[in-house]
Amino acid sequence: MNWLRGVRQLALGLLLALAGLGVSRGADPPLAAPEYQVKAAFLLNFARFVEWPGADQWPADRPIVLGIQELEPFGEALKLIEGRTAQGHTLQVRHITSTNELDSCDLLFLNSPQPSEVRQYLRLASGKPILTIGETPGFASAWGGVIRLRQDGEHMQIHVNPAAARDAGLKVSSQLLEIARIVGNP
Amino acid sequence: MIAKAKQLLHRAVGRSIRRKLLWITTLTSTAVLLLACTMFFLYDQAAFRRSLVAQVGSVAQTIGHNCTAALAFNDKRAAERNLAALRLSPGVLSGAIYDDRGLLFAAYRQSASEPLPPPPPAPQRADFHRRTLHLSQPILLEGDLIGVIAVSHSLQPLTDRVRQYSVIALGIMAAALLLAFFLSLHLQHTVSAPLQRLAQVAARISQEKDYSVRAEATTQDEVGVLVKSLNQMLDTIQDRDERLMQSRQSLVRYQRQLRSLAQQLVVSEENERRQIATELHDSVAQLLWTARLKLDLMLREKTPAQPDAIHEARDLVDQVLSQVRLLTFRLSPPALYELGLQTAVSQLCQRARVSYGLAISFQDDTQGLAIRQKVALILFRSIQELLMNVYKHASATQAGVCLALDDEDHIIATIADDGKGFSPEALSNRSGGSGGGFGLFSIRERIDQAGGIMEIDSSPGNGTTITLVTPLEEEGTARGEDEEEEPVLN
Repeated sequence: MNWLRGVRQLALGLLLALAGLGVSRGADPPLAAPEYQVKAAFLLNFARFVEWPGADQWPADRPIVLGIQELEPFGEALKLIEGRTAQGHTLQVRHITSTNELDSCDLLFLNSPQPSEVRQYLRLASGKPILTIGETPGFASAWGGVIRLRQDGEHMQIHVNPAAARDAGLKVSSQLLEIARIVGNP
Repeated sequence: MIAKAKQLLHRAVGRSIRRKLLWITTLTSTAVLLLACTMFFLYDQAAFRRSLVAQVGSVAQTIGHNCTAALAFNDKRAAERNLAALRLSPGVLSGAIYDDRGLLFAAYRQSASEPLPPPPPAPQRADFHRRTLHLSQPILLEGDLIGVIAVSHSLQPLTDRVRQYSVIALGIMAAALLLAFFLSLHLQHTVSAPLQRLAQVAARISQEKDYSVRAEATTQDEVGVLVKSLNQMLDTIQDRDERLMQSRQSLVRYQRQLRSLAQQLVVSEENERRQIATELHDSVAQLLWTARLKLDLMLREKTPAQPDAIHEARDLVDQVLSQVRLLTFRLSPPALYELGLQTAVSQLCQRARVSYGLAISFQDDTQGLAIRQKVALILFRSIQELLMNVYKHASATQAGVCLALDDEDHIIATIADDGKGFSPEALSNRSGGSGGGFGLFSIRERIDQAGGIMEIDSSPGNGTTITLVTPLEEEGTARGEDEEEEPVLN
């Protein structure tokens, strides 16, 4: 039965190798806080559970662009999601420094410490097919953002404003809605 | 194994072909049914396992897919909610979701005591254990393996199916065996019945030694051939038995004739001696006595003998000589030894003409060939005896004797008369003893010994012709083994 054991070891090795490619790949880099590793993974996964209008017409080489206001807190964690695929398109991470760059983004993570700046960007993005994600209290429920991440102890909560998503022409997957908390006016 | 089965079969069913056939049919049916049921059972088991894996796999895949978001966003409660849908499949004992690092993410148990399926060694696997099936399906997101769903499924349906199947198979087997048994019980008659009948006939023959019994062939198969062969063999045996019986009877008859011949020989020898003694006493001795008286008379008269008296005495001596010659011829004809068979037979005929008053002709076609003493003696005595028969029994007026040669070195003696004749069959059936029948029998014996044959051509009222064919050379003497040179008569 040696060959069987060999097959098992090979399979186990394969599993570990595959696991290494998963979202947990961010466990290794030392500089990134665990919280931001999770956030980076969540950002990638949002791209996978939300559908953009006309996305089925996109050419294969068109990337999905993730714009981020503040890159520093992520440390090396963003490298783990950069270039990964979501709905068949490569994820491209871009540092957003001005409002002019908004239109080129499909996802927008508004993590600026200044709430005014966050709200300014939100206002400009509203009505456009941009998935806005933030951390500020009231980002989804009051300000019109689509998704808000809220750290609750060890658990990361997801708040979704379906009305805002609908306004942006985005279709949020039922699976995501199932695990998310629904906020805002229906 | 088959040899052992044969041995067991032999011991179990004894010696009856009927029972053997029955057993063979039943055993064969059992073996075939067992094999068929086993193969079908194995196939069914494999098929059932495949379908179980497909069924449980599809359930696991669906639930695993529903857990994608929960895994992606690390929501254990959502995953457990999804996993709880496993309760809709009653066969599922427990289920678990392991994340990409192999850590338990969510669990489901049908009952609290149920153990969870262990982390699978590979994302996609199906392992059958004694009572459970452990099955796992990968959970993928955008081609990335983000977790594995593992399900432990009860094998109770499989066990139930085995039990159910066994009961059905046993039922079918019992019914089929019963059917096979009764069918062969009726059908084996066609094979065993003719064999049994044949065996009964054979047993009757060997017990009662009755070879007139015949078996009846009812089939055209090997048994039919066997029956025919047996009948043919019985025909042969019966025929041989009959021939054996016949030859035994004739042997007994022959033996009886031989015994009487031996007795007759003693008697006839004694008769012959007494006859010679009587003749010696009555004629020769009387004549000599008379001659002596006459000579005494002449001596006593002291006168010169009268020529008449001397003539008288000489006549008496002549008579004595004639009597002695007659006796000598009867005892052993000098002509046979001195002048040969032809002359001796010629003299015999002449003497018979004088003595018996028969008109006997003699013809000699042997051209004076010298004939061996033994053959000559046998022929002479035979002819003498036959002529005596003609005189005594045939009431014939004419008779003829002929000696001739054939191309194959045989001498042929023919004695014919125009007497009353007889039936040779009636003669040969008589056991011999007295009369001409016995005489003919002893002649036949003598001719046989010389390697010849005697033919009798006679019927009542038509006279008799007897032919004696004797080889000139005795068979076997050509080799000259221990055989003394035999004198030849001439």
